Formats: sequence, structure tokens, C-alpha cells
Amino acid sequence: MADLYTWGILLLSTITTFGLYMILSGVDSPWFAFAEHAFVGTAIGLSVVLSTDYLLRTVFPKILADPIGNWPTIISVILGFMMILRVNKSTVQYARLPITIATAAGIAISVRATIFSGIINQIRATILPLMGLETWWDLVINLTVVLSVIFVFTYYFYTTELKGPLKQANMIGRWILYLAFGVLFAQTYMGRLGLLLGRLQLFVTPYWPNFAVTIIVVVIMVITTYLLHKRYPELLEKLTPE
Amino acid sequence: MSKMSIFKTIANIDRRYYYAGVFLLTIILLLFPLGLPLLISPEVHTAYETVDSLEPGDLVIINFCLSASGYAQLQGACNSMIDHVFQKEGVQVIFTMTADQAPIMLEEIIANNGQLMEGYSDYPYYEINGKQYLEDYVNMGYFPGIDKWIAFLSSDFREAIGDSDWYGEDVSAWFDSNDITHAEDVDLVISFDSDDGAGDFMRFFYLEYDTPVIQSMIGVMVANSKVQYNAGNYAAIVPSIRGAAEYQFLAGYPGFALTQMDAFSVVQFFLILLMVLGNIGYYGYTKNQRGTS
Repeated sequence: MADLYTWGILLLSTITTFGLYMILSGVDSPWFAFAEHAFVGTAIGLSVVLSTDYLLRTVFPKILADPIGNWPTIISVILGFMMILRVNKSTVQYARLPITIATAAGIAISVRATIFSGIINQIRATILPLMGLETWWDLVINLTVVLSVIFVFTYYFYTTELKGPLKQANMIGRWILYLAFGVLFAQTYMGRLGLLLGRLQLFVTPYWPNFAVTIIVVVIMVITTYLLHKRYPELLEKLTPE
Repeated sequence: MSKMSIFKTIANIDRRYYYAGVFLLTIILLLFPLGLPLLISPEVHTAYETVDSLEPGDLVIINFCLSASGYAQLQGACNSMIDHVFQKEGVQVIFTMTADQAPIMLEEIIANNGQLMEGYSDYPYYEINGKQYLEDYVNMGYFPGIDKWIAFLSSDFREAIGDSDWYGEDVSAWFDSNDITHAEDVDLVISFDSDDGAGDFMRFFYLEYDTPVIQSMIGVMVANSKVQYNAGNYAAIVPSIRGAAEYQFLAGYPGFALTQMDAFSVVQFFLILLMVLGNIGYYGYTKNQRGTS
């Protein structure tokens, strides 16, 4: 028999998951409002607690042990706290400094590696052999990559008049881009479906208590939402703040 | 009913019926899986081979750059890959986290794959496939600043990783006894990502020291990761639930990802069917409208 903690988790996860999915119904629901606010609140709360804990466990002891030797860490902490100045209109400009430094530092440390990972290695991956391959399928793959790169390049010719073979290549390039964007959309859909599957798996197995509790909770959520819409619209408005 | 009104009806079906259809199909197939065949992709096969080829003395960083919203997709990969790494004799593991929600999920994965060590009653003292905490693995916890911290880890490993584990215990002796001093000592990085943790490990570990990086990522990241894999930047990738199912099949891990694949495949076909229907309705309706006007 599941203990109180397991029951609590099961109830809360069912309410929040199906509460969030209620947005698909297109009607306002207090369950959606609860799940939305609870998610944002707990995520931010957790982030604040963990970041504070990190500072207390690692950064402050380090500074206290050797303040002079750790002067860069002290500056980092001051810059970090300066971000809080965003809350006030009169001090918002000071908050831009740490954001600028953090962004610049991020770009500076990654730009050298990005030249290799994002440019050189990517170009190298498109320069493929078309002869001496082991199977005909390898030839199909390599030929597809090489031709696709050439055709898509022609799509980005803006400074010359498109006529003859260049116009045809440009059109093929556009269709290849359509395909690529289609794949991206399909991947996004698969990702979302994966999330749905992962969540639903939790609710359907085992049958008892998970599946049974889910059915009962969802029915209650649907009925309460329906009743609020039909009978108590003023209360519904109060329960679903913008 | 006229031809035009059939097309109009098809083109204007309330989308809520589609959602209801997806929900119902998913639940039915999760309850009654069909056992559809599964093709193993080369990238997941490479991931399995890479982990399987780990030798005694090898050091693996397992990084969680994972938020709660992506956990459902990567749970299968986390369970099966971590279990596989922990089966390899003499392999040392460092757990790190570059997402603030990740510690909760890592503890769940550890508890799922292991059991409490004798004489202990709480984290982090879990034994996984015979590997014990502070003997074979450590959990260094959450580090903010993803790319900056990974760059720091690459340049000054011991300073960046610190001396205390996630639970405040001094683990410097573990690092000293295993002679772990530099980033070059790391033999493999596995990152479970809903943000691009593996990308930064690739930039600062693979490009700097040739350390192979395996990424298991959520579905929306697959297209970009596949490009990186094809360019040779990642040693292997385990994409989303699909990759997890393939890995579980290869590793013989009894997980949910395999049963989820049936629902995954059928619902995809359902979506394709809806797209075809929607387009038939739309083109039929607009064509007829043009004809009448």
C-alpha cells in the first residue's frame, strides 16, 4: 500500500499535469491557473534556494579564507548582486553592467571553440567522398549531403539575377530548406509527444493506485471546471487571474 | 451532403478532437503495447559501444543539464546508461549538474538503480551495481553558470570541481587517491541535456583534450545535436525517448522507454493521417470555392 507521501505526490502530479493540459480545451480553468502559478513559483523558489546555497557553501567560505587572494571572486559576487538593481527604475542602468560582462565573458570563452565546432568541423562534414565507398547507400547519403549543400547555397544568391540553371538550383534549394524546416518541426513535435508519453506513463502504471486515481482526479477536475463555467462564472473569474 | 460540405467539415474539425485522439491513443497503447519492431540507429549503437569499451581506471563525468520539464523524456536514457556505466569494472564516476533542478532527478535515478549501502540510511551512500559512494563515484552537485563553469573545469579541474561534494563532505581525498588532477584525466563525458551542457563539454573537453562526449537530449534538441554528431563533435548521441528505447534494448535494461515506443510510433502515424486529412479538406474546399466564384 502506498504511503501518504506517495499519495501526495501522485495527487499533486496528476492535478498539475492535467491542469496544465486543460489549456488545450480552450476554456479558462482554475486548475490550469493553479498549475501554472505553482510551477513558476516553485521553479523560481528552487533556483533562488540552490543559488544561495551554492554561494554559502562554496563562494563565501573561499572569500573568507583568503579575501585578498580571491579578489576576482569578490568582484563577481558584487556584480551578481548588482543584477538585483533591476527591480528599481532609477537603478536599472547599473544592472546592465553585470549582464554585459557575463554576456561578453560567455562569448569570449566560447568563440575560439565555436570556430572549430560550428564552422570548420561543420564544413568538413559536408566535404564527403563520392568515390571508393563501401556500399551504394553510402554514395546516396554522401551525394545527398553534397548536392543539398550546393543547392541551398544557391538559394542565398541575392546579388545576381536568377536565370537558367541557377534559377532551377535556387528552386531546388528552397525545397530542400522546406524539407529541413519540416524535419525541425517534426522533431519538435516528437519532443512534445515524448514529454506527454513520459508524463502519462506515470499515470497509467500501475493500475492501482496510479491509473485509478488519475481517472478519478481528472473527472473531478473536468466536472468542477464545467460547474464553474455554467453556475459560478464570478467565482471562476476570481480563481483564474490573468 | 455535397462534396464541398464534406471538404469543409474535414477542414474545420475542432482541434480539441485531435488532442482527445492523441490522449486516448497514447493511454491505450501505454496500457496495451503492440510490440512493434525497433531499428537501432548507428548513433545509439556507437553510444552503447563507447560505454561498453570503458576500461578499469577510466574516469567518466556524468553531467545532468536537465530540468524537470525534460526529465520524462530522458529518464529512460538516464537509468539505462548510468546502469551500464556502473556495470563496468574499475570505472570511476563523477556526477555533476549544470541545471538547478537536476539534483532532485539524479537522486531519484541513483535510488532507482541502487540500494543504500550497509550502515547508511540516506543519500549519498548508495551502492549501484557493486560500486560504492566515495569508493567508485562521487556526486559533486550543482554548479551555476553552465558554459563558464565548464570552461573553468577544463582549465583548472580541481579548483572548479571543489573539495566538497553535494552533501558538504570533503571528497578531496577521493580525487587525490585516484590521481584526478586535470581535465585530461577524464576519459568520457555523458551529458543528459534539456539545455546544451554537452555542447560546452564538447567545446572545452573534446576540442581541447579529445575527450569523447555523448549527449542524450530532449526531442527539440535532436536536430541540432545530430548536426554536431555528423560533424564529429559528439562521439555519439542518444536522442530522447527513441534513443532511450534503443539503448535499453541494447543494454537489456528493463525500462519503460521500450513500451513507450509503440505509442510513439502509432501517434506519429495518427498525426500524419490528420495532416493528410486536413490538407485534403483545405485544398478540396478552397478549390471548390474558387470554382464556384
